[in-house]
Amino acid sequence: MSIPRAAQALLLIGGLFAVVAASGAAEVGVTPWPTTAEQIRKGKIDVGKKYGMGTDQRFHRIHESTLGLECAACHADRIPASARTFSVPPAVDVSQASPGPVDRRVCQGCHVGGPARDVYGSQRPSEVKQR
Amino acid sequence: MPRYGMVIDLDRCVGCRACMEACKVENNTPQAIFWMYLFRFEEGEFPATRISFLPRPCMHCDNAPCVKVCPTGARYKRDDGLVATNADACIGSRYCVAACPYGVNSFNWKEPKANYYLDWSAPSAAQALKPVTAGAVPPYDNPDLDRKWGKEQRKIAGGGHRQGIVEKCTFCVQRVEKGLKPACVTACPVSALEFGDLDDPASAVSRRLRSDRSFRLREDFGTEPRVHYIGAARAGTGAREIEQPKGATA
Repeated sequence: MSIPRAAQALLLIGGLFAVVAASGAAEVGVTPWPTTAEQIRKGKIDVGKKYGMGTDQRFHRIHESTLGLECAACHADRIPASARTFSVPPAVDVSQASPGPVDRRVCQGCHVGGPARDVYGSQRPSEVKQR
Repeated sequence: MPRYGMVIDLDRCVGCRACMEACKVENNTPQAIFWMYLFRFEEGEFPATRISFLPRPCMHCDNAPCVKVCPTGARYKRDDGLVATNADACIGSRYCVAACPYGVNSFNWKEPKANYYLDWSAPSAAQALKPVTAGAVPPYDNPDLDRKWGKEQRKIAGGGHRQGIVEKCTFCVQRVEKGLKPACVTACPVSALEFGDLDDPASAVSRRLRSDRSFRLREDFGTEPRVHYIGAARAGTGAREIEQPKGATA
């Protein structure tokens, strides 16, 4: 299931474009994401210390409140078969995961050698600075 | 130090789901939580249809996103390559759930039961099984799951499936530490699954990898999974899951 390098590049660009377009963060006057990410890392922007996926917790405070991503930037009603990550067994009610499952290709836009910490890139776990 | 990995032969797999069942019995995983899951796909239109299967355990990635994002270090990579979760250190942030492109992590929303397969204390169950077990209570409640394993001595074999923590396939660490293979591998009736040391050229996994072309799931994520698939019976791009998740529209 490997994808050709050219397709990977398109995927990354497409993912990033989708996120930026949905968030409106590319508008004039908005702090660029790399700067924001750096400020978060340095503690200049308070995103809380409560690690979790709740909307009041750090993950969504970074991605939604601080970076301005809208729900639809990550969550989708439908994920195309080509992007399937084989993630949800039939016994799980995904409708509870409102507002929909996440297409993780979107994450790659920033988390592969981008402004955000490297999650899917070449950096090994031991090379990533732990909190 | 071995470098453990798994090879799954899709041509051999018949979709019986014995691997899923064995995993559940060995690890006593809660309802709706599958450490091993077998996806069933179909493609084409009747009568020209085709069915394919995809067993999916944790990939135990060498470049594991879940390890990178874990805020407490509860998720870590062992020297032998197993990606483990220290149940005592997990705070239930679910960052690993978000990061894993394979969806292998499950969060315990509820306090799990001690035994999911039968309430042995219920008189009706004891009565029903008396002819089969002669009154003996089978040891489904696996004490190994609560023990501490490895040189780090951490609770990584399920940890009792406590509420508020994340769990996933451990490659049956409690069996591997005893020199046994994971339950799913042992249970497969057609030997579609194989487990062993990828660095040992004489191991069954190495031999099977040499004998056929292999691929790994979602290599575009750069995760370097330790689960290799062989065989031509893989789902095409037009394949659809036979069983859809509840509430899914895709």
